[in-house]
Amino acid sequence: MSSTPTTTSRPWSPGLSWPKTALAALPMLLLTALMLLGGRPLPHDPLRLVPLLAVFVLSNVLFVLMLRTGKTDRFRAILFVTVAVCFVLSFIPNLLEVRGNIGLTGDDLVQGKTPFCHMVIPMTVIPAALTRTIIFPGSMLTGFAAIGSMLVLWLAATLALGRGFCSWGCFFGGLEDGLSRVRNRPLVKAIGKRWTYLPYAVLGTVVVISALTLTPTYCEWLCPFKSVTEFNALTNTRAVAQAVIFFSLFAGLVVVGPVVTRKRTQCGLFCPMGAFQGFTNKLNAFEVRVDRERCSDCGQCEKVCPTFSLDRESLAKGGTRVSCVKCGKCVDACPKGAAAFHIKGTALRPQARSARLLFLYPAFLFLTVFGSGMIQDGLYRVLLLVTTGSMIAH
Amino acid sequence: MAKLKSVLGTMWALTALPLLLVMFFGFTHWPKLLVAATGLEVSPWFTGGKVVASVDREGYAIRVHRPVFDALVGQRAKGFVQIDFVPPEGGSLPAVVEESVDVGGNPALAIRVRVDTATRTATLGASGTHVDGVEGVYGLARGLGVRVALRNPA
Amino acid sequence: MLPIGQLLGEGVVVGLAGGTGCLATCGPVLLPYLLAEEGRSRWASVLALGQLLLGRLVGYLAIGILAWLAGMTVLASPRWRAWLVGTAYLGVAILMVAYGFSPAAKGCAATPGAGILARVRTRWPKLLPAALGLLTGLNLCPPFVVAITRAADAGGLAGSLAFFSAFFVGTSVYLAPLPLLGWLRRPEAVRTTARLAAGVVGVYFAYLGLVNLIGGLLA
Ligand code: SF4
Ligand code: SF4
Repeated sequence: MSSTPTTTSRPWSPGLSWPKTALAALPMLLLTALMLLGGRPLPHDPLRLVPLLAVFVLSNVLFVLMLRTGKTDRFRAILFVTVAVCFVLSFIPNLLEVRGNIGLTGDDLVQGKTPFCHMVIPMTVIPAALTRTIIFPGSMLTGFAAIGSMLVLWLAATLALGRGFCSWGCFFGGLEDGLSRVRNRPLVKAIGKRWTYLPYAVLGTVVVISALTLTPTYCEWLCPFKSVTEFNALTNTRAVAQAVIFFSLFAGLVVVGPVVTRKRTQCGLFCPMGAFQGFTNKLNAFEVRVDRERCSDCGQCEKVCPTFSLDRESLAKGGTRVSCVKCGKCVDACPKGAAAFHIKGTALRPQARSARLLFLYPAFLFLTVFGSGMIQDGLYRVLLLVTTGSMIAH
Repeated sequence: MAKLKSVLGTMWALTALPLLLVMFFGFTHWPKLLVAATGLEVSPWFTGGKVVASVDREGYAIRVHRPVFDALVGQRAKGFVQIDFVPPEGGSLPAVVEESVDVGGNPALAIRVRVDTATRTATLGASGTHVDGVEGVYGLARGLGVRVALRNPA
Repeated sequence: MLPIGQLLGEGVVVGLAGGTGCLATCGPVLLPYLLAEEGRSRWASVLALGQLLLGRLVGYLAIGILAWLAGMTVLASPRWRAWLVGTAYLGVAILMVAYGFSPAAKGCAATPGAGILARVRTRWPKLLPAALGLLTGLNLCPPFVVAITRAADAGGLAGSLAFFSAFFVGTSVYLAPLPLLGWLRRPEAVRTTARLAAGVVGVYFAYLGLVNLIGGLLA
């Protein structure tokens, strides 16, 4: 086996020397400064200023560590989980401020006051194509999380990252990602491979039923994250049944599942959006590859992959399954440096480092900028709670 | 061929960052462009559909939406029509309003409705043969919207 | 009687909607018969498919007549209808969930008919696909329940038959590409997904069944 010059003792570590790290971190520093601080005057309210500066510092420190150590997932996860937790902290108080309630009422639905999220997108495609309408009780352009804005964000992220969206964007995925790290060892190890096809089955079913009923079936009946966002006001049995389903799925797939398996069970075994997003990996330039010559078949990557995206079959082919979320956990874990970020069409080994960098810039920037609003607002709510005793500004 | 693939792959990878930058910097602009270019709007099953008739009354106005029977392809057998009761700016609706509403000139869909605005309830009077009942009364940004269930006469 | 145009349109839509169910329940059973085997030309697979579809059409038309009869009798009372439909949905839902989520269960009507099929295979091997088609056509699968109740509403034999012909067209959209699956890179993945989808749809049908039963109680 040939050896390649590297900055750390392990072969093929994508880590950079300090001077190179400084150089490579500079563009991110400037871009995040421009995007988070630029254009607007800094807020005078310290409760707004502190979170803003905190996001700026935290994200850049994490990026530097990523570059220097060569570890991707370790630092990505910190930001990703923070975004998810802050999303929950900010979402509910925000609704209370903007709409005055958490439970969705008939009035809210008719007035289009429901925030749109990426989970709905697969269900909207067929009706949008055939009727030019979006089957969601939101607003195209006005208000919090308008449909048009979310579609634009999703479209750009998808073109740039494919299913990388699920580990560098999705503010729900972070909850599971965090909970899957709570225990050091999994209690449940074997999950039949056939269950990893369930997300595609759920996808197919909700897409067809939504198209026929012209309502977003998954949001109405199946989304576990309703538990931490909003759902129909509990004014009738139907709404109660829906809430019971939401909470059960949340408890099972987002809390218990990840804790006992150390996997993102909702993302890997249920989420139709994730399944849909997986197909966009085919259009995307970035992927994770395994260099067969270096791989010793130790199975470490397969063990750590949170979305069941590596198995013997895919390893033998030197790649991941279509469900890979490009989190980089396998890349971090591989003792031989055989797993690496890769640009499709290019040769595998010589470019392992540049491929990673080319992926990290857009991915990290997206996570930081898209997540910054949520982190800031989440921190702001916490500070508000500490200083005023309430998470809602009066 | 391998060379070409490599160049194309790298170019595609290189566009990822600029793409996101362009998206973020033009973020106030792109959603509007997307909506204008695709003509997408929210489904009438949620919005109630376009307003096709307005009538001004003393102390309030009524706006009648088009009846909604939209299916994925063609029309459904059952649907609804939304009728909005709108108070003047800064004012409020009378305690009770009673209206005869003409829906698309079709006598089968003619509606006689009485709305108690304080309790937010509505009852139907003698209406057309294809009028099934009140589906719900909803608060709007201004006024109340009454949805009346219909059977498709077509 | 409902206008024929509307019935035809609805038949296609219900077929398109339920066709995934057809694919999930019967696809895996039909697949081995349809895939281009070695020594069998593509053309032969397509012919087999043609036979299969014809068999299904005949099965559907027979059901169309039954639906018309049912519409005049048992399905005429709203309460009975709700109960019957509810029970049918629930029954089918249980079958589908069992089939979808347990690796052992068999879902397609053509499977229990294996005995008959074996006889057809030895006596008239050329007619096997048609027999398969007929059996799947007579299958009480979920899309069928929807189709029967709708056709019963058609209010006439011609309407009922028109509805079922259109239903046939809608469902065929899914079955027709089956011979092409042989060229798919990952038929196993497609099969597993289709099967799990049957389970998920089963859960949905269970919900519809319950709604109908409760509706019947309140009627
Ligand atoms: S799989 Fe679903 S929940 Fe998980 S990250 Fe992707 S979109 Fe989010
Ligand atoms: S294959 Fe690697 S990068 Fe892809 S999801 Fe699994 S651990 Fe993450």
